[in-house]
Amino acid sequence: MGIQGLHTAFKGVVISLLAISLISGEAGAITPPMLGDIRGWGMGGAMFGVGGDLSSIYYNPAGIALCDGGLELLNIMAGATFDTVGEMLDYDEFLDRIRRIQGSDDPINDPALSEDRKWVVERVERIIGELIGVRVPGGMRLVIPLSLGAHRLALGGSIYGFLGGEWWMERRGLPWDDPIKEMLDDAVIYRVFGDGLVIGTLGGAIGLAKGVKLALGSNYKLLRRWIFSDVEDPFTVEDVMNPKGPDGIEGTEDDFSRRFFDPNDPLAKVQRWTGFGLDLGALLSIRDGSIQAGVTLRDLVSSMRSGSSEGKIDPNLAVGASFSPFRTKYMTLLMAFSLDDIGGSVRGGGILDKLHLGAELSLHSNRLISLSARVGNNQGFLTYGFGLRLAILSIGYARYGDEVADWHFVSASIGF
Amino acid sequence: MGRLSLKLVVFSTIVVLLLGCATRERGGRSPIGSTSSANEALRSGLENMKKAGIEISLSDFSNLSSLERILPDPVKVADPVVKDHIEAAIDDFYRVLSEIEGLESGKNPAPSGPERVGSLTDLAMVHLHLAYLYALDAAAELLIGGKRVFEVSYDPKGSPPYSFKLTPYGEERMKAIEEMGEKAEPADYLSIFTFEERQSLINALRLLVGAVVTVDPMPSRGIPAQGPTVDERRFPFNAIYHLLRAMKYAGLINPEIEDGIRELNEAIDEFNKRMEEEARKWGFKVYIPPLKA
Repeated sequence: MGIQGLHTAFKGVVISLLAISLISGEAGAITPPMLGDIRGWGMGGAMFGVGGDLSSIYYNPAGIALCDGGLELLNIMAGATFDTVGEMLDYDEFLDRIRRIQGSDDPINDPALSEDRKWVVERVERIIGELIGVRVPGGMRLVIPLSLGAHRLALGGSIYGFLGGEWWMERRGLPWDDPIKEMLDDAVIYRVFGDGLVIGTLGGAIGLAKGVKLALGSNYKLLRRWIFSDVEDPFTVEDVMNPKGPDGIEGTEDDFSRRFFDPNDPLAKVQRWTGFGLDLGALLSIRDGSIQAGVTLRDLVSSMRSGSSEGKIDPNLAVGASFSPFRTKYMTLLMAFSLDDIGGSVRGGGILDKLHLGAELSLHSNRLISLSARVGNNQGFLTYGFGLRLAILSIGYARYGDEVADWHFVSASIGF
Repeated sequence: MGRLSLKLVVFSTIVVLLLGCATRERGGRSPIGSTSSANEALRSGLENMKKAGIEISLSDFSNLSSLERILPDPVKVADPVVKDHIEAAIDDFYRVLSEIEGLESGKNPAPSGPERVGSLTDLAMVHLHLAYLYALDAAAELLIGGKRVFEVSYDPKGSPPYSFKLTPYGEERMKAIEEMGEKAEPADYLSIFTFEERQSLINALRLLVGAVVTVDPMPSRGIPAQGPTVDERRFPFNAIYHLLRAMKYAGLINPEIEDGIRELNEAIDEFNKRMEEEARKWGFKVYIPPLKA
């Protein structure tokens, strides 16, 4: 395949996208999958203008055409919010007190449990404003580069899974100044979800001049999603205290088990979605990659289905640029910025809600050992982290702040 | 290297300056399920209760199932200034109620969804506070207007904690009339009381149970016609009405909370019955309209 072949391939992609977009039509918006990795989170998500490694599959598919190839067999990440970590510190005491209260014949009135009840009320009060959340992403990635003289074609792919669980409490109703009066109508909100993706990536790069390349790429994503949440209609503490519902009659539509979930069969309320999405990306590389500028159109076309319900993921236009002011055999400094959700269709908000800044300093004695330190700003929230590669084993950490919470993430992967 | 340092400084400055610009909306910066006017009225009501020294603190869940314990020593309310705070708090809680009454008037007492204002807890608590305030307003009425012939005594361990009884002076006068036997007339009893004492008893029964208590005029004994002077527009209901409403909503949340309010209801009802009996005996005409709750 020569340059003509690349042009034909890109033309085919564009025509197929237009055709699919015409048949997609209007449908309800669905939250996009949370694609990312420890490097991207440490750098504040400012990765849309960074090409040349496996991260490109998630941020800008054109970037795989600038990659020397690689295989990551297993990449396991795990994250928890700062609040989760804080709550775990006295979780044992919380459980002990709950057990004592549950073990009583008169849990509400038993005077011996007065201190336990007060402690639990204060503990629950503390949770207001916190978010208890865990996320476990992971998967494998592969990029195979094919040289075509001065040009390059690359094939890539990823199997990616993301499990997440979050719950928090929100004040509802009148603002009483007494914790017990206030607590009874507090909403308990949970969101448990899992995404499974199979991503196929095609990228190609054309040499425009010495040290200048233009890369184009696309992702083809098959998505399976499971979600179990009460965000739209959360239950409250008073709902838990009254399983028969406001009418006080068991077996009617307002019973807790019918309105929210049946504690004996919670999975009956799980929603399952299946669908696909297509991303397009372009990346201009100047001075042999020292300067890069990219644009990604995520989910330009998408369609999701759950039973008889149909929906789509709103397209997300992102641009970014990166700059390596210092690049030697032993050290590389990378600075990057991105703006995503430019159309405001996914999250909305102002310019700061779209801005991502990141920097990475990598020390590498050879290809087998490298150490990277990262810092960034994700939509106004601090991020930082590090990565250590020892031959085929990589470990990493990221402190990541987003619009939901501040997170700790750790990762371990095996790759070549 | 100098240019590199400059770039690093500029980049670092941008990163640092932008940190902390973002905020998270989770945690409810804007009230969900309430309105700003309801919030303001509630804040004012609670503030007035605090000024009167009669705030209700449920420091432990067990207080929910034994609410009669929250009734304060009525000595606290035997002050016109405190009575003013109590009545201002009643006004505030009616303003709160008007904001969440959509819940009351609807077929479903607790419709769900983002449009819902208030909750079952809010309804139960607002009615409980109103009942409590009405009861204390009645106690203040009796203590400010009475004292000479009758009094309201308080025993926190008693059931009910309040009792309505005659003072030694009142007992002496009553005993003298009872000794008159069949010759005793209602006017003999009524004339023991001053005009203000009769009025306080009439108004207290109106505030407690909605009773219409009247005194027929007896010009020969210097007793004018008297009836409730409670402002019906300002205080349209009574303590028992609000307690029954509170019980209804509490029962939809949890039977134990309903039991707690029932005990408070019984305590106040016991006090009412004693007052009613005495009032009838003393020549007052008492009519208690049927309660709707």
